[in-house]
Amino acid sequence: MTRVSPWLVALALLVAAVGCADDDAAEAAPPEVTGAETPEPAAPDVAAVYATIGDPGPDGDTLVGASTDVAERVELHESVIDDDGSARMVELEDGIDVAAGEGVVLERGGLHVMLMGLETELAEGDRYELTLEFERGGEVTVDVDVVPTVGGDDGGGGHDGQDEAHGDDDG
Amino acid sequence: MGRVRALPPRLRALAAGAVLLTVGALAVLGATLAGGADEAPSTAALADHPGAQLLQNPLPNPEATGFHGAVLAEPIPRPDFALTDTDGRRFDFAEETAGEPTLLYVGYTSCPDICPAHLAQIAGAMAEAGLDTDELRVVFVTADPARDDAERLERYLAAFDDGFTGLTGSPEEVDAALAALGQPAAEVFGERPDGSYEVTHPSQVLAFGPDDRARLVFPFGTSREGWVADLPRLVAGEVPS
Repeated sequence: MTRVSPWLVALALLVAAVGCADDDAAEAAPPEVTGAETPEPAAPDVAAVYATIGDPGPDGDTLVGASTDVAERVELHESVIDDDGSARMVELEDGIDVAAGEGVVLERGGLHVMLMGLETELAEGDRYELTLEFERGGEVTVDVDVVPTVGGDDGGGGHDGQDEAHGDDDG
Repeated sequence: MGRVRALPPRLRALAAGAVLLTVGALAVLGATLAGGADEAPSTAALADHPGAQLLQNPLPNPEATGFHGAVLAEPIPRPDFALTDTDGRRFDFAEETAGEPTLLYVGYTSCPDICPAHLAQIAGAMAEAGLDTDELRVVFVTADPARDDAERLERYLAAFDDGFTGLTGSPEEVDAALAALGQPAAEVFGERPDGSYEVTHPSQVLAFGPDDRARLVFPFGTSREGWVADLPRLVAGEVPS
C-alpha cells in the first residue's frame, strides 16, 4: 500500500511545468531574416552578405555564427571607420546583437557576414543557402540572392535610415 | 579675391581653400605660410601636408558648401608618386593624370565590404551622370600589394568598370604613394591561420579637378544622389567656394 502525498504530486507537476517552460525557451523561433543578398563579388575569393534580421521578441537574441556550402569559412564582421578616417574590419567574435523589439540590419559599410575562400563562383542571378545560427532561436537557413556588383545606391547606411538599401534604380 | 589672385599659385590655392575658415583662421594660415611664423598652427589641418586633413575625417556640409562631398579647408595638390598599372606599365600619377578630373581611392581587393561598395557607388553614379572614364579618371591604388598583383587587380576593377585604372607596386612604393598623399602606411591586421589578413586604408575618395587640386573628398556613405550631383561639377572644373 503506497500513499503518495498530494504535496509531492504538486511538486512533481511544478517541476515538469518549469522543465517544459525551459524547453520552450530553448526552442524559441529564430527571428525572421529578409532581403538576404550578396553583391556579385569582384574578388574571386571573398564576398559579403547583407540582410535584415527582424524582431527576435522580447528577450532579444544574438547571431553567433553562419555557414554555407559556397565558402570555406564564414565570419561575422563590422566595418569601422576610425576617427582618423581610416577603414578597417573587425571580426565580431561575440556575435551580432539582435535587439529585442527591433532586430538588426546588416548593410554596406557596417555589419555583414563575410564569406572567405569561395568554393563556388557567385554570379548575378544565382541563389545559395546560408544558415544563420542564433543563440536563443537556433538555426535558420535562408536563400541569398546574388545581385549586381553595381546596383542602386551602394552608399550603405550613412544617413539613409534603417531600410535595406535594395537596388531600386539600376539606371 | 583680387588680392588672393596676386599671390603665388600655392599660396593662392591655399588661401582660396581657406575661404570657409574664419578671418582669424585665415590670418593664422597666412602667418604659417609666410614661413617666418614661430607660433604652431592651432589645428592639425595646418600640419605639414595638406593630406593630413583626411586624418580628421572631414564631413560633408551640403547646406553650407553646396557639395555632397566634404570640402577641404586646404586643397591637396595632385600627389607625385609612381606605381605600376595592370598592363605592367610604369604609371606616374601626377604626370599621367595632369589636367584631368580624377578620383583616387586606396583600398584592397580582399576587402569585401567598404571597397566594393565605394567602387560600385562611383561606377553607378558615373553611369547615371553620363560620365565615362575618358572624362573622369578613376584610379584605385592597392594598399595590399603582396596579394594584389596586376592580374587580380585588373579582374577586380573590371567588375565595376574596365576603364578604372589599378595601380600596384612594391610595399615600399605603395607606402611612398600613401606618404605622397600625407597618409600613414597601410597596416596589416587580423592574420588568420590560413594566411589571410586585413589591411587598413583611408576610407575617403579624393576628387582632383582639372586644376590638379583635390578640394573635395567623399567619405564612405555618400549617397548616390550626392555623387551624381557633384561629379559633373568636378569634371566641369567647378571649385567649391
